[in-house]
Amino acid sequence: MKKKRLIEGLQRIVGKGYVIHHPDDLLAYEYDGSVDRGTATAVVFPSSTVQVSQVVALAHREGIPVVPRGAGTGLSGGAIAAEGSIQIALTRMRSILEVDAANRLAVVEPGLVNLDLSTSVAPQGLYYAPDPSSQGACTIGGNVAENSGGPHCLRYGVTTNHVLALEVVLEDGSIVWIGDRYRGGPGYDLVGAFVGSEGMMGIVTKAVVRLLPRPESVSTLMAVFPEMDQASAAVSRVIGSGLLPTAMEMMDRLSIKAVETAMGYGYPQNAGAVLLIEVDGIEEEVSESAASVKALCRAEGASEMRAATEASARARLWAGRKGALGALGALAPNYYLVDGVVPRTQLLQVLRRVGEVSQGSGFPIANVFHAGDGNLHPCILFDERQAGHTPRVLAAGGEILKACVEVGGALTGEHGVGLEKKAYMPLLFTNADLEAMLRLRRAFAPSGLMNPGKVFPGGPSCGEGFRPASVVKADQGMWV
Amino acid sequence: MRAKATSTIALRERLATLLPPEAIAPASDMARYAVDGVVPQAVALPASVEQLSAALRLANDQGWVVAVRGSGALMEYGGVPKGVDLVLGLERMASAIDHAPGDLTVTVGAGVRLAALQEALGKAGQWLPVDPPLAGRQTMGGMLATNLSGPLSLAYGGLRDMVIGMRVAGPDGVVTKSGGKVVKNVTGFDVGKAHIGALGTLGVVLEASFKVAPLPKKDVTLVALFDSLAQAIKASHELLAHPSAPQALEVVLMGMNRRDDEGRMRQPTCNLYARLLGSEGAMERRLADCSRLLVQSRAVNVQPAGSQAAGQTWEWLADFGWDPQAGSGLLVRLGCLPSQVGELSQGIEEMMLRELHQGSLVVGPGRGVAKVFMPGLKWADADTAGTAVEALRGLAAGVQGYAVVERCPLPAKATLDVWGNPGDGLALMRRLKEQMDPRGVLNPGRYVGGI
Repeated sequence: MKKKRLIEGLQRIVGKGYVIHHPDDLLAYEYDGSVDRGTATAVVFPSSTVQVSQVVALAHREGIPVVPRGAGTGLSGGAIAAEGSIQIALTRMRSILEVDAANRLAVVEPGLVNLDLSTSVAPQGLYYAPDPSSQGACTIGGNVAENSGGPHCLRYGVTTNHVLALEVVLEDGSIVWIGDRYRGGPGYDLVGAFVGSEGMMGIVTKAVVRLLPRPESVSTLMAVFPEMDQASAAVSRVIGSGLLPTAMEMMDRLSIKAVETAMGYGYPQNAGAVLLIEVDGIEEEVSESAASVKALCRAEGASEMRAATEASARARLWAGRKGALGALGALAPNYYLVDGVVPRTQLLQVLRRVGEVSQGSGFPIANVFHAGDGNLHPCILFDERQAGHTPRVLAAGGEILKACVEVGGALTGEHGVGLEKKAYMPLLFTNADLEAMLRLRRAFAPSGLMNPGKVFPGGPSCGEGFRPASVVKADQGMWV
Repeated sequence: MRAKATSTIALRERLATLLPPEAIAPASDMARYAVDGVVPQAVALPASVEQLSAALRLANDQGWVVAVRGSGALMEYGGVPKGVDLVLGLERMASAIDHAPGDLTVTVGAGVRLAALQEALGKAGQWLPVDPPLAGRQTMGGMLATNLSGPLSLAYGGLRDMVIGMRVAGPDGVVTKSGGKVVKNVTGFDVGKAHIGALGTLGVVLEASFKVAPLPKKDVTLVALFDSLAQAIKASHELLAHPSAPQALEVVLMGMNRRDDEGRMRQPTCNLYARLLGSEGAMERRLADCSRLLVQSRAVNVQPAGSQAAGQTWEWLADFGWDPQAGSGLLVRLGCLPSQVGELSQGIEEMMLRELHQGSLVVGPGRGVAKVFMPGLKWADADTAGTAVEALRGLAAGVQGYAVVERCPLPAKATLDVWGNPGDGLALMRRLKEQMDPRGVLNPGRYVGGI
């Protein structure tokens, strides 16, 4: 099919103003939040399930790959266009179709911004629990594709724990509902198998998600430790005591320095680690848990503690943590963020290994991470303008991932495999393991035209078109 | 499609070339391993993954129908098999429990009993917060295959929310893994989810890793008596909407259409059980809140249960309809949105009164579940069972819900579609089955839509 005819076909479906195909216009859609890029033949902006279905069916008839895209905040390249593909941007489909407060669920379109859902249902005393760092921009459809996490998933779980049912457009344009609104109906858990499939099994056009009641009381505690070892020990002590906080977040010496340089937040100069812990529930429970957490942190050598229960005071405690990644810009022009995950008892060992990688490679590495569930986020600081630095940074990232796998961890805790990590999949999975995943994919998308080239090793190398993540200004509030 | 199986003797002989004698059950034991009355030709009892893979591979090559078995506690679940050539029993498989208390994770073999796992976790002050039927008997593999959740799923979710990794043998004997041993992980597709509740139709679960939870410091149960089921369900929703909401809440309507010694119809009793799990400091207020709400919602009598009585009650609720002492009967699980459970269970109550069916009803208003158990041998009659199931499915359809027959005596069961309509996703489910078990040897005919 000639490009001109294809564009006309797409325009007939979504309207002339909703197809981008001029090379200059396509530039803006070459990127997501990751290091890769790719150019689509066209980007379309459907406004309904039927339009998505028609676009997908057209592409299927013509043998053209399709790539779904939400807000483009992904960090692993899941939304990067495949060669010659049609990119389907779902940002116009952003309605909340139904809020059922009695049953604590909502039916939403895929382009809805994560935070907008929580904001909208706040008057009913409800919220949507998964809170990825980019929740002010990222979409529910993207969250479903990546099975996104967030700091508060320690207690409340990740996206898959909050999705009840999905309307999905399959590769041939057919529209199918999977799952049910109450869980427990007969048949395979297709929703569970679909969530986290990185756009490779179908395009979500509606999602039924669970909402949680807002807790009666929340307490945020910030503990400053002279050494990272002490902070890590405190994490283990808290978990070992039988408490399950909603979040346990850590910053190391270098990230504290970055935050101090950029924001003048007032952390002690000699702080080796800052630990943020949040507990929620009914008032009596929260005050009891907060007291226990304080005592345990003191016992592990916390030099300073602050606590808050009121919303704006809690936000101030979180500010340093949330601004940390942006603040790294004060230390280096670029960073490469690695998303490894390890059993939480291995944290200290792996952090030491990260330190060795930093020494060996010569690049400073800052650690800002979800300590409670062992999800590391080492940020390798560098300057892309220095010749040869970029590949060395990637290699250092690979070393860290290997260290995670060696202690029983995994390649990615919440950012996805995408293009970024597909070459590393053999570290964790055999060919037979990957074949089992491909069988699952073939049940949904046998032709392989749905977001091809991601997750599975092989195909274009992940180093092609490398672009270091842009440095975000601290005041933009980007954090992970 | 599978080829017709070889003769019994040939089948056993072929197995004997691969497995040591102790891994093949004696021919005299076959009746013990029957699935819904269908007697297998052979039973393999592998003691290692290698033996299990070898037996599976042979069966797949030969087109023998394989039924996997744990302790056998829930073997009745699912449709009546069209035939069973080989039962694969996992009782002799290695039973390692790899518990990492500091990580709140555990990895456990499919043959391990849930009770043994809970005991091991309990030593470190942790547990897997599940209460499926016959928890004392069932194995981890059986629990994952059947996915029958209990009252605790109100607060803790289902197995799908706890499993973080899985190792599975495919019908060709090839072992694959998905996920891992970390609590937060998006590396690769979540294939393990497909196996939960799949009744062994996609593969044989060998091992699974779970997120576990700290054991709650306090565990208190309130019992409230109500004049009517409707009143109790209304009270349940009041409780569930409150910040002090219990972690498990079930309503029981017991002994419908039963006559006393003088032949008079007895009034069924309606009890609400609320289980509060959590920290010490909050318990006093939570109990006060819940008691107050129950009284305001016209509970006749509210009191805390003694810990022994509470334990027995929750076990009874979890085992409802499955307890062997209750004998055979028709057990149906219906589900819908929580807000419609009142309407659904009222419909069931009216149907039972109208038809004079003896039995009891257990309702989880927050879970959106109503389970009805009607004991007796009359349910072996196909017409009687079929009429009741049809009526219950009609009630479920009225609230956009479902009705699954969990137990039904033979021969009636063979005439029923125990699962009902799985909805829009059936075509995808068939495709998944074709991908995972292309020769159709794993438990064919026992799952939804004849899968």
